[in-house]
Amino acid sequence: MKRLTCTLLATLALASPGRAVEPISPDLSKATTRALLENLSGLPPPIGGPIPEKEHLELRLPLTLTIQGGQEFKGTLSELHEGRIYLRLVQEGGEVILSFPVEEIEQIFFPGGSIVHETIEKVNAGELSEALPYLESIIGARYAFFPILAPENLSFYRALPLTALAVDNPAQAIAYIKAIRPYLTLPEDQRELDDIELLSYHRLELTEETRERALRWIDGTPERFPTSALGFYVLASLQFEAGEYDEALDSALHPIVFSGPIHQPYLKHCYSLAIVSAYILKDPIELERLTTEARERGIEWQPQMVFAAADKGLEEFIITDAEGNPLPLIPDESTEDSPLLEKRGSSNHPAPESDNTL
Amino acid sequence: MQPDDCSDSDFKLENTLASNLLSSPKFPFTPTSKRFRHFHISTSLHSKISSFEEAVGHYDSRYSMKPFRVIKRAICAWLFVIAISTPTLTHAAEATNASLTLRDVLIQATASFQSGQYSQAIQFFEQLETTFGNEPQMKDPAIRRIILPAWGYSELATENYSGAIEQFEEYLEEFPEPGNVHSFVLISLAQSEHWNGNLTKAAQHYGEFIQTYPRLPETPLAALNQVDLLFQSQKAEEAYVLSERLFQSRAPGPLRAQSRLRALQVRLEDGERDQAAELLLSTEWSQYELPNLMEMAFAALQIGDSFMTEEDYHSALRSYRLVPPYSALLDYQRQQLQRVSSILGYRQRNPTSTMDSVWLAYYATLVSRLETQLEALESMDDYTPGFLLRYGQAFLGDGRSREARILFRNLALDDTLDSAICQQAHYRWILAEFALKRWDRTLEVAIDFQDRYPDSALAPDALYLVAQAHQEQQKYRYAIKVFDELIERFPDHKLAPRWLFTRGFNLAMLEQYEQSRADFELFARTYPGHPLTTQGSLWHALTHHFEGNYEEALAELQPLAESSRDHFLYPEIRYRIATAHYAIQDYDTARPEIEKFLADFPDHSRSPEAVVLRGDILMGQGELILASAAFAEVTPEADGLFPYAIFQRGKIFKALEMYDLMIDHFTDYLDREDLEIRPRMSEALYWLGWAYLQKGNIDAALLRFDQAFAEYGDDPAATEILPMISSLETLRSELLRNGDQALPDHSLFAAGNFSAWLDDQILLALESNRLTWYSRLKHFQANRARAIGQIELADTILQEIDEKVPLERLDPQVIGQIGIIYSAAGYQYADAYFDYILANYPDHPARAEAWFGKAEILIEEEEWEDADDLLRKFEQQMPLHPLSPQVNILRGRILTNLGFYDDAEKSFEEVLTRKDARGIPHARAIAGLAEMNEQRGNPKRAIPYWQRIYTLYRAYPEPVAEAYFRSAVLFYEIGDPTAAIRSLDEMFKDERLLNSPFAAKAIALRRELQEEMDTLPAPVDTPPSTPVEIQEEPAS
Repeated sequence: MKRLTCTLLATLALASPGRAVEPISPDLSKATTRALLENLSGLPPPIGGPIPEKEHLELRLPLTLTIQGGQEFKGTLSELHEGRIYLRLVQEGGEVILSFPVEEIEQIFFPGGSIVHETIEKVNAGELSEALPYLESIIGARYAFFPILAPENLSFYRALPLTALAVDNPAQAIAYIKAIRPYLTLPEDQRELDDIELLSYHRLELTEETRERALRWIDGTPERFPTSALGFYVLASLQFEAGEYDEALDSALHPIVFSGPIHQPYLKHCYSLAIVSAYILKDPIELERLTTEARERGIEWQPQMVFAAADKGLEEFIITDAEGNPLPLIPDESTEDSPLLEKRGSSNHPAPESDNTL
Repeated sequence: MQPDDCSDSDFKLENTLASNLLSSPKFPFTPTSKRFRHFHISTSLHSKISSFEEAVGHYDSRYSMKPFRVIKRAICAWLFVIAISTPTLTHAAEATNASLTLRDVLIQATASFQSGQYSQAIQFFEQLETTFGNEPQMKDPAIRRIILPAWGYSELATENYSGAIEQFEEYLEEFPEPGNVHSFVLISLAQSEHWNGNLTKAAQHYGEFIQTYPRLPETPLAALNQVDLLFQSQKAEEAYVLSERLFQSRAPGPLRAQSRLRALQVRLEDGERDQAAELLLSTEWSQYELPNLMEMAFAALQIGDSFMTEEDYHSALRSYRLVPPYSALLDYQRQQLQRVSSILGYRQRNPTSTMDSVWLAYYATLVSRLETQLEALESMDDYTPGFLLRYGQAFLGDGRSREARILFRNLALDDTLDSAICQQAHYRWILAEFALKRWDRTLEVAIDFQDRYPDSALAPDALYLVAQAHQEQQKYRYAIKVFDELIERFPDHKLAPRWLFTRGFNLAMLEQYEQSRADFELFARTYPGHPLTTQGSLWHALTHHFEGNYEEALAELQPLAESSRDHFLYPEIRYRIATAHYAIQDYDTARPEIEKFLADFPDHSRSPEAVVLRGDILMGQGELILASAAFAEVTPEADGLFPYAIFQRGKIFKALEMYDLMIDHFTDYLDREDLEIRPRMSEALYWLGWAYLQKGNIDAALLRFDQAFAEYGDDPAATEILPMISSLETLRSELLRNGDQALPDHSLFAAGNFSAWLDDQILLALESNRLTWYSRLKHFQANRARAIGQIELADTILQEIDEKVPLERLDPQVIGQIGIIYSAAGYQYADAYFDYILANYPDHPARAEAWFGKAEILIEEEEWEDADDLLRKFEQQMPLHPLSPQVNILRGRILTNLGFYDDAEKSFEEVLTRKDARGIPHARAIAGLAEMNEQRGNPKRAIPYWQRIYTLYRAYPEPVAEAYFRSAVLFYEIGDPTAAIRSLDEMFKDERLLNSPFAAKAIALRRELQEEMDTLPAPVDTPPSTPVEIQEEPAS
């Protein structure tokens, strides 16, 4: 504790992360949503509802801070300011606030490891709406520490916007992305946040923002054989919706051209869009080639809502499976749900390096 | 424990021992990886391997030796048990080795074996055999059951395979019952035979293993080895069967995939491409986590290339799809090496069964193989760009030009790639755009190619594509310029003959027939015997045909037909001969010609046209009934010719006054249900009504007209609606004039006059929201106003229509008329009207108005070439359109501006030959000739044209005022200010001209001239300039 300073700051208020006052509702108008998203800072109000009180309190128990030399301190965060952590410790006769230079902290041990672990399991099992309140509670307790935590230990939180998307609140997902993006600096985290953000804007039908992000997504994909076709799919889908079928076909074809034996996420979406665009453009050769190729490559047909936007008739368009059974053009109850986000590479969400040490 | 205790229950004891040993906290592990090390050393000495195939070729398929620790541990334990339980022997054998007892030797053998000193262990085993071989203990099966595998293994470890084989075979002979050690010995024997070069025997032992132990985890591995050995022993058929059996089994995916890959590779090596491709393309490789993806990728590349050679682009694409890019393959290979190395390490650290050594050998071999391949991969050049060029070519060949375009563009614009690759990709990008018929883009990309790679060997090919793109866009002048450049820069290029030929073709398209013929003649002289010779001669003849010189055309076509009987164009030449005879009204010759053509070439693409031509010829001969029968042969499959034939028949019945037949004919046509497209239906209804009128069946006629109005009146695409309204007007006036019959009970006759009926109909149309019908009725009103000279009223009515009716509800003809009003007023938005017509009614006659209007706008913008393209189309497709004189005038102006003065002159002269263009159009054509001569630098020739205007067209003040002023300017320019003043003074005498925009300019010029004259000395009787005299026709 050679440079550790001990300060009594009884009046120091606990620095809580800035939260917007009103929760983001999926029922808001586009204009309001747009304005809301532009002005958001910090964590948005949670939307997933409460978790059991016991777990809530467990997550908010004092954390353990280990400094160089191995000495441990148990307390709650008072403030993080100018490179120092101010920890509130309960001592006989009252409270004491100790401050520690961030660079001298070796480890922070957060309580509630088992809750985190179970939440990860929920996420990996696809129980996203169930995971959402836990994730919100966890991040609520730990967000203030994000600036000093290693990005490797924050990857786990990229599940949070995804869970918001799962409860059909893309605006909330975007708000979460805004809140966590500055700290999740690993390239794979940034890529996934880009993906979720793009999907969220697309779901919100904020066309201009979506197009801009889809183009940025494509520009930010330097590799010739992209590991995901999401940006191309979203752009093609916007173009299709706008009646720009030629452009839609070109955008959808890009990842099709640059796809190998391992099918990247959203490739099947691109195939479906390309097939329907070729049909509308009355390009029988392209239509036949794409349909045959999709079958040969085992790429399943992907019904899409955007096909309903075709201003030229698709009434006579029939696509069938290998047995000749007609396939739906627009998703219906019989259509299997696609995963919320088709992920590149590993399908599981990363866990913190240790269950409870971040 | 005594050895005898376990002699009858090997399995149980061995398992017990094994499990005891496995639970031992510190299992002694003494690797004997001599072979493995050797492999490493030898591979490290490999020279750089330039390709994967070579790497595969150098693959050493022998397994690396690894200790089979569990079985070894078991054997050690037994040896130890035997050793300590053996009493001190006092035997005769001790004489030969007095210092060692059986027990001593056993203990030492155990120690050597355990410590991995296999050579020494072998010595002790041999000593046991030679010294104590006759001892009863040594003959005890329980002891031999242990010693033989240990000895065999020691021999194997020291690479003495025949020694190992001897021990293992002896064991199997003495102990044939299945069991753990048996399975181990059997598979080790197979390995020993393999490494000893006895491939057949090795395969046989693997087979025995598979048969004896069908469900062991090692069984698929044995099967894979067996397949491999059978392939190496040239027993391919047996190997294929076993490989397929393994692939279809429930074995682990990587083993199954490797088995199939091996079969694929052998098929490929044996030249059985199709079978190899079948294996390649019917396997979903991504399912199996194939460890050696590189081998599959290169096989796919090879097969894809082979399909490309055969132009089977679809299969090539399917194969190429399996080839990852170099960087991805490198990553995959590294990951696989890391993964397999981890598995190997894990298995080494965590033995689980007596068969561990088999797996260790498998993984060790795989690691070596992956290392070798990775080394080869790392040292080779990136194959991706070259591969992608072929991949793109496959897309292009498969008719997927969009995909090819995406790929080639991506490569061409990648400045990290080698310039040669970019250049190739760029060129193919042009090809892809060309294939997509995106002419603008083709040009853009091709011109960019020229800029980037001006000295490229592909430059002429790229330029040729540019020329072709211009040609496809009907920008023939541009195409000709490019051909000029090509012919000049690359006269010896292999495509030079084609360039010359195509330039001739383009000149023909520009109606520059003389130059065109010159090119075809030059072509014939320069390249005799060229495959395009007949085409050249045909086009040479056709230029005469196009000029209307049918006799000259025939003079060339007939000998050409004689000399081209075997040429594919022979039927075309014959057809052209018939049309030429028809054109000169030589029907008696034309008829047998076309009938012979139809008899000789019934399936030729010209046949439908020939059938129609035969009908026309018969009509020309006056054989109307025969002509009707000929037209009746034309079927709906003949597309546009079918309605033509229908209406020709109608025309025949009309000419023959066979109104009943006419009624039947058009009724049949209207009632047909087999037509997908029903062209000119409203026109048919019109003629049907007309025929009823001729029959005096007024009610039926009115019924048909009403039907037409009801069904088609509100259909924007319907034609002939206005003639029907016009017919009603005529009908009404005729019936009222005759006055001798009862008028039909129809609103037309209930109205006070036709205009009132029209007004009623307009109101009704508005009330019922039949806006198209409303616009047509108003259009009819506008035409009536125009016909009586109320031009402004006509224009106002059209603008009223535009205000009330949305564009999509308007008849395209009306849209065109409105557009032209706006365009003449200088409103740029007129363009939207024309674009709408061209986008929605590309085949409608109103496209003429659209082209005309757009051309006017383009001329204002000085986009001369684009304007000319539109007007040329107009001229070619609508030569009889009422706007065609104006089109000629506009084209003349354009050609003047482009510097094609001769063509401009022809265009203006064409107007002057047309009687229907007398008046203002003639005046404008003459003005055009004057301007053309001015621009040509020939003011003396221009002046008489201006004079001609103010002399002959005084009825039109505006052109007259301009003519005076322009002639005055020219007089001044040629140094004759007096004549200039005279012209201006004459102009000022006509008061009508003082309101012209030219008046102010003329006054200014007059003042300037006067000032100049005042400074000059008095003229000395200078005769006025005498411009060239031009004979003129009087203005109408």
